[in-house]
Amino acid sequence: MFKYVAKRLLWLIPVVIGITLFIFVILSVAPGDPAQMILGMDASEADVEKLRAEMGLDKPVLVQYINYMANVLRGNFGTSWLSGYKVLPEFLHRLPNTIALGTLAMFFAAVLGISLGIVAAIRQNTVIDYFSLALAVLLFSLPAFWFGLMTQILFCLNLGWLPASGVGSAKHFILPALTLGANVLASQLRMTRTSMLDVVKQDYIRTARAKGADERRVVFKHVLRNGMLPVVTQVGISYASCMGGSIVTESVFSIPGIGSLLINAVKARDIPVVMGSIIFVAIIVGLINLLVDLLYAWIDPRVKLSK
Amino acid sequence: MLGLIHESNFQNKGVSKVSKTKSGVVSGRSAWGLVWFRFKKNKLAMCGLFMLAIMMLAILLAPLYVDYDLVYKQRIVDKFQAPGAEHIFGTDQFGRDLFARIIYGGRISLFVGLAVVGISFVTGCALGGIAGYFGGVVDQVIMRIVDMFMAVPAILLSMAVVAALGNGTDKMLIALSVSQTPRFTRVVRSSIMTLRNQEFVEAAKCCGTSSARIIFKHILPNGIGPVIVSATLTLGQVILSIASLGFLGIGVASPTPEWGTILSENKAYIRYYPYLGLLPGGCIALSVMAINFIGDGLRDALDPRMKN
Repeated sequence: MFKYVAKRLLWLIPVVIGITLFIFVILSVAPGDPAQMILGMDASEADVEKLRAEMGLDKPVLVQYINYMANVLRGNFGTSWLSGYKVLPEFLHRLPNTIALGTLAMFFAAVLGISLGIVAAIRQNTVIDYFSLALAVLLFSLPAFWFGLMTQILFCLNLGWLPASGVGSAKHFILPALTLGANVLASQLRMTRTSMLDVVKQDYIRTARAKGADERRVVFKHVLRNGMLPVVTQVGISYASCMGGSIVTESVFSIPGIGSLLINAVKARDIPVVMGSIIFVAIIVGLINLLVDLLYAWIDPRVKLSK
Repeated sequence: MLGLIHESNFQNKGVSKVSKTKSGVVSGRSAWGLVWFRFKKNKLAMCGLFMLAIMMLAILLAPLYVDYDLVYKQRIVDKFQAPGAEHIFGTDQFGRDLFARIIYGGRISLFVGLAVVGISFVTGCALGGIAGYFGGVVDQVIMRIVDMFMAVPAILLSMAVVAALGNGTDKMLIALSVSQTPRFTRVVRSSIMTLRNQEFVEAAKCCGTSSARIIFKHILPNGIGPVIVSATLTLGQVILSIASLGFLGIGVASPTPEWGTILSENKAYIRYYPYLGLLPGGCIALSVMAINFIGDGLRDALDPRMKN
């Protein structure tokens, strides 16, 4: 168990190195000089050269990369090229908002999606089943930013029920979490329904019924525990996509999280901020996936963690 | 002969008789003919195909009935005209015709989407094919790199690539392809892994068939199903990503029309003129929904056992 966890955590190192190196290499072949961009087009040649030297951009890409990673290991993620803030403190300051949003969305999506999926499977081919499936199709096809924008206009601006943007109270998170969770809810619902229907067909369910187990026991003890296995994996994958989706949602609802920081950084090609976000998110997603796998092994003792 | 009898049954007495026979019994159909036969019976999938076909035609034939100049032509006096006879989708804050912008914007949304899926499909097939067929060290190296890219959410990876390359439609295309390729590689690999050790492949090997022939003639036609399903469903997600990036201002840049960009331009006015939000958003949702219906239909048609 310990060995497994250690192995998984160590695997994060090559992941981070690989992704960051990839971005560095693209950056070096892409046109445009960051120093020139920061100083503006009418800066003198000498000034640009000076800044390039200060930023270490005059060195070969590999040296730049090694310097960058050495700094990252010391906890120094650099400063924003655009606004001059230190990347790490700014991130740590904003991270709780992103995590809160992602977790709330995930919680809402999992609770609603899984329970609707279970009900749809138990009551297959009834109105509630069709309603759930239609809801899933709809939520899966709606663009999250659009859903967010429209609900924001309806509930915040026109009806005035909820605050439209920013953070501060639990109320601020309701719509963003709904927006972010909508897509995940749809996939959770479908996944749960399919998985449950698969299990219902198994022989051991018929055996349970034949033994005279009451329906509640069959559903909760036999179907649910076996049917939940693929769903748990899906939750892990969904959390990763929630972290990605939060970038869009944060922007719609002006939530000061990592996502909204990242968008401005991408527009301005503010590389230290972009690199920092990638490293952060890769580590968070990696940890979540590890947790999910541990959970998976706990639910299903047949799964061995050795591989 | 048997095939002919079944065909005539199908034509004369409707679907019921044939559909009851086990799929394998309906002879006289190719494997893909069977898929189409099953696909046709899926109402939602056919509905999706119909919707997508209409949208594609409307977008492709746009130059025949909408003047391209209307996309950019500003007439401030005509701003915020509600949908009506003169402008069927109304006009935006600059008095530009929303219908023209949405129709021409669809070209980018749909065709960049298709291009992204095409590129990642081909690259993923090549990489996944190599990894799955040869296995061993090659497989290990390719799959570890794939794992690496999959460790970061697709949209974040695309954004990082856009940041490194700079803004623009072409760069967005590259960025989205980079983030989708790993998924295809995985699907293709697992599809090939399950086929690699099947008897018919072993038989082909025993006959001395070349690797290339085995891959293209035996494995690919049998293993391509899940990959096509995955490609269809990915297309929907890519269209959503293009719109999201456009909306965030890091995809297609305004004033070039694209569904997400159009929404972004009109963001501040949707509250007062809801059609500015409902129409472009509806187009995105409809096209993605149609594509998802087709994808689901294909999945059920390719593997009837999956269907509940």
